[in-house]
Amino acid sequence: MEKKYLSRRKFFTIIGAGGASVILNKAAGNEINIFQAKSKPATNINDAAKYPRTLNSMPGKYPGKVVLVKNSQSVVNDVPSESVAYEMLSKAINELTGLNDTKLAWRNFVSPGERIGLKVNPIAGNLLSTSHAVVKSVIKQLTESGIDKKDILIWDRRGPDLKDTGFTSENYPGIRIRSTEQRDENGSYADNNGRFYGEANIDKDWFYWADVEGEYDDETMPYMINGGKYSYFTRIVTDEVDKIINIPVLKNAGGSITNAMKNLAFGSISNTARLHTDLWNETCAHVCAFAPLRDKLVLNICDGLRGCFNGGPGASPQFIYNYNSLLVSSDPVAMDRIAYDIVAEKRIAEGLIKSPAPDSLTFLSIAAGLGLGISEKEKIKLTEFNQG
Amino acid sequence: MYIRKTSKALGCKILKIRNIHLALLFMVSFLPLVSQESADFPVITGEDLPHAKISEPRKFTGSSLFGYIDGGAELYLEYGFTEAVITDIETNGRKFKCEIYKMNGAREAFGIFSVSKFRCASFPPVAEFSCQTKYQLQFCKGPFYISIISRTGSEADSSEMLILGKIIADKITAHEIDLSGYFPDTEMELIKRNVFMAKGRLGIVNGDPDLEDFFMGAKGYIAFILKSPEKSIISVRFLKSEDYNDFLKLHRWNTLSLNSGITISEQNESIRMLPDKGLLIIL
Repeated sequence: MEKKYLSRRKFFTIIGAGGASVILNKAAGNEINIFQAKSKPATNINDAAKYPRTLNSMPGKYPGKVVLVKNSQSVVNDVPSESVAYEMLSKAINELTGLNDTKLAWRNFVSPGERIGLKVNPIAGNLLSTSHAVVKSVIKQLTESGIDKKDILIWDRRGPDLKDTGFTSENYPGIRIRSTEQRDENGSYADNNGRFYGEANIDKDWFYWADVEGEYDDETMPYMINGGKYSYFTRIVTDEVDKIINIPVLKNAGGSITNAMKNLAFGSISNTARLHTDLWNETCAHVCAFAPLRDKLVLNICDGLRGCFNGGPGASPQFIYNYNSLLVSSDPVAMDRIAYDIVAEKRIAEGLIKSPAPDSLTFLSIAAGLGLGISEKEKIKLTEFNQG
Repeated sequence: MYIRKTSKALGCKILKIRNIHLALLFMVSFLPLVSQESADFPVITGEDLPHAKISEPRKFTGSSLFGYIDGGAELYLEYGFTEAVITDIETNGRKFKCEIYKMNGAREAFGIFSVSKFRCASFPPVAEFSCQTKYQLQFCKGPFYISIISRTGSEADSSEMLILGKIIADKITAHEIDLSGYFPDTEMELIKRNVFMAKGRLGIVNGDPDLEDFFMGAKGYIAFILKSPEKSIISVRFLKSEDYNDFLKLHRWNTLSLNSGITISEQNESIRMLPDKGLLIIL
């Protein structure tokens, strides 16, 4: 049963992606012109280009370069191994930078005195959070390269999720743990005056505006912080860190993936629920185009020791799979492109899909159009190592 | 003209699927349009397990489900979601996460269940529709979809999950959706294992991504889809005439041709028009 509806699909793809945002990136002047199509809600993506790019801007120091390290011993009895993860990470960082000294390799991305934020992904709870094996390996290598622990911060949008998954001061002594949404010991997201703790953590000077109204009931509001058409950036990225190391989990999401771009974009702003339905692709790309993310992200480390090949971003046990893989790149777009193939290959092997769906890569083509990275597979330099 | 009327040309293919057609005709005729009534929330309490440690339930209503599973909430909202109660249970030294989702009705609960299960190791009798894997027990009963997740995946955990599942199932007085009339000539076990229900794009993507194109642009529908390696049998009903007609136009199916019987499209789809804005399609 090989059915083809390509003409219609192509039509919708054009409407959905290209039609939504035809992007001209004039490299010389860093000028970006966006033509919003009527079929998609308008956004303020044009504002992103008002801030000139810097030397640190995405896609960082190694555009289009992705290192994939595999090690079948990286997960033992369904628990990621820190010692193996450490070796995998060293190999990947060295290969990415072309250096044989891991300490020096890290100094390509960070320097002592800089405040470094590690963006993890705990949304799926203990079943499929960014692993402690990888996060602790990152911290160990950062400190070995001269970074003071007090300058390292682990963060996510959601405080309760961080706590539930073990990202606590007890497990990470000396490391700051921060979140945008916060819940007190009584289980409340708001103080005695009814003000959400999260309100103090959003920066209203930085926002992603989209012509989609976020209308939430009282139960939902604590997770959104604000409704309306504005999604504000967290102060964690605007004020509290100088560099960001993005550590997503290798996960399927719908027909696409949730990895570097999604982890960073949806994890850095408020009022996100409204953006899932019509602007998922755009949000993944657009939010990353704003300076607090675009100019601070230095490295992406995809935790693919354990991931999922269906469901996501939550986790169902039957879809969890030991990919035994670590992907590293300064370029989140290129890394997501490779990650997509890994997940798609597994989905095909499991009989979930017959072939990869080009539509699934729409967010990457939008991001590439914004100059955030390389999305075309043939232009990506993938280096692969199998450590056994 | 994209559809040629079928008479003799239907030939062997239609004869082979005749029984299924009849079965699905029954199915659509009896398809309930109103979901089952809600029931009390069947959470496990200290009274059920006096020696267990049960966490304070976390409750999520409507769109606040985004606070629990972020974008994953969209799938539940697409089906029609009311409330979720999440508890962590430690019993006999074993830890479990218990998720109870109350959907808008039994049909919606079945819908979520049908796209959430995968490669079931067994189908324990805690409910009519159940699925157990190493780490998880899932089932639906009445308007509830239940997922119990084990930490270790051990055999002892599997046994304990069944005990927890039974406690929950016994608290639910509402019944499952009845699929027996929908496929009278098909073994119920086959139906249980292979039918999924979708009401929108996300359901389709989770149930059978290869059908995403087929339903692209469609809205206001309820589809029961019987998957097999050779073909998919789709029984779809639209709630509004407008949506129904849009779907026909989308596929460029000719209404007059459809009215006169089973037709086969250029893409080899077998289509039959059913009463009350329904279609039976074999791909």
